[in-house]
Amino acid sequence: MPTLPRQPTPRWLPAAGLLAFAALAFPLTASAAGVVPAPAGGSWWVWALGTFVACFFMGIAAVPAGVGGGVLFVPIVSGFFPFHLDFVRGAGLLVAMASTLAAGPSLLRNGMVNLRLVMPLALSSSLSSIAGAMVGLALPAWLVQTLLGTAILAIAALMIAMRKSEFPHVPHPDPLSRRLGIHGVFRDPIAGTETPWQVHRTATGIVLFLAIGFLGGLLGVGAGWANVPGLNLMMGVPLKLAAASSSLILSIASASATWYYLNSGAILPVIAVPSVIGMMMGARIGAHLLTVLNPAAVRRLVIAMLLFAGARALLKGLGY
Amino acid sequence: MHRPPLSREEKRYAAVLHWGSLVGFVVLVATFLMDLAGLVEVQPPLADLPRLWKLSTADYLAATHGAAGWHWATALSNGDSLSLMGIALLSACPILSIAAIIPIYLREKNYVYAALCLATVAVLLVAASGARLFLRT
Repeated sequence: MPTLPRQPTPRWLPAAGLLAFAALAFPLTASAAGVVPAPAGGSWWVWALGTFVACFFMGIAAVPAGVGGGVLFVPIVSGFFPFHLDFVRGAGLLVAMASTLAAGPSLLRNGMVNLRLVMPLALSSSLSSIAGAMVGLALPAWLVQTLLGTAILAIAALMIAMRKSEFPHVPHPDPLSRRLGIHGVFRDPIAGTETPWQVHRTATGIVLFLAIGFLGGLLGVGAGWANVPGLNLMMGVPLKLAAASSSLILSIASASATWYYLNSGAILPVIAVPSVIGMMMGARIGAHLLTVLNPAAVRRLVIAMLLFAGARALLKGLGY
Repeated sequence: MHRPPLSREEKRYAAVLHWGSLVGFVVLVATFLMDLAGLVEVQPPLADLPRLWKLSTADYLAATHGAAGWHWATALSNGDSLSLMGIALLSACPILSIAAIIPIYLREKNYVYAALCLATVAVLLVAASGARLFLRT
C-alpha cells in the first residue's frame, strides 16, 4: 500500500464507525431473530438496502485496515442478516473478486505487480479454490459456519500477532524461482526508489497458496489476509509488491470459485449486487481517507469487528 | 508521478482487465437497475425472496424450479438471469486477461509461462463450464 502523508485520526471516527455499524446491525439482527417484527410484505428491499449500507461501511474500513472486503463481509453478513450461508459466501467471493478486478489495471500500470510472481501462485490457488467451493457447498451449513467462525478468530489473532517487513532479506534465490525468472527491481512510484528483489521458498509458497485458495473457496472470504504474509514473510517479496500481487492472485482465484458458486445457483443478485456496489463505493472513500485516517486505529477497529463477528459466527455454527 | 517501464504482457493484461471489468460493472449495475425498476420480469418475484433466501442452494433451486449449471443463461428475459450475466462477465475477466498474454509468451519462446497461463485458463474454464468434477452439491 502506498505511503501517503498522514494526519491524526479524529478520535470520534472509529467510534462513529462502530456506532453506525451497530445501529445498522441491531435492528436487522433483532428483526431476523424475531425480537422485532420484520417489515411485512415487500421487506426484501430493506435487507438489500441494509446489505448495501453495511458493505459501504465495511468498504470504508477495509482499505485503511489493509484487508479485503470478503473477510469482513462473510462473517458480518452471515452473522447478522437472514441469508443462508451459501448465498453469503457466493456474494462474498463476488465482493472479493470485484474489488480486486477494479484495482488490478492501475496496480499493473504503476508497476506494483509482477506477473512472473503472480502466475504460478494464481494457478495453484485457483485450482484449490474450486475444490474449496465444491467442498463448501457439499458440507452442512452449521459445519461451514463453525469453520468460518474459527477461521475469522484465527485471522484476527494473525492480524494482532503478525509483523511485516518492508524489504525482507533474501540471501539466495531458490532454484525454482531462478528457473521461473521470479526477480526484478521494485520501483516505488510514490517514494521514487528502486530496490532489487528476489524470492526464496517458492515450492513451499506454491503449496501454501494451495491451502489458502482452498480456504478462500470453502469460506468465500477471499484470501488477502493470508496472501500478503505468505508472499512477504515466507517468500521474501517486498511488502508493497506483495500487497499488489496478492490482489491480482485473489482476482484469479476468486473468479474460479465464483464461477462454481454461480453455476451451482449460489449467487442471488439481490444480495450480491448491492454488496458489490456498496463495498466499492465505500472502498473509494476509504482510499481517500487514507490521507486523514490513522491506519493503526482503523486496523484496531477492524480487528474488534472481526473478533465480534467471528465469535458470533462460531456460536451460530455451534447452535447458540 | 514517475511510472516504471512495463513489459508487453503487463500492458496487455492491464488493458484487457480494464475494459473487461468496466463492461462487466456497467452490465451488472444496469441489469440490476432494470430489475428493480420492474422493466423485466423477475422470477422468483422479489417479494418472495425473504422466504427463499433462508434456504440452502439445493432447497432454493427445488423451491423455485431452478437448475444448476448454465440454466440461467437460457432465461435472459428473466431479470435475475440478466443480473447473473453481469456477474459472469466479471468472472470472465481473468480468463480473457490471461488468455490475451499467452501469444506474447509464445512469441518470446517463454514456453514455461505460456504453459502456466494455459493451465490457469483451463482451470478457470472448467470452473466456468459448470462441470461437477467429483462431488455432488
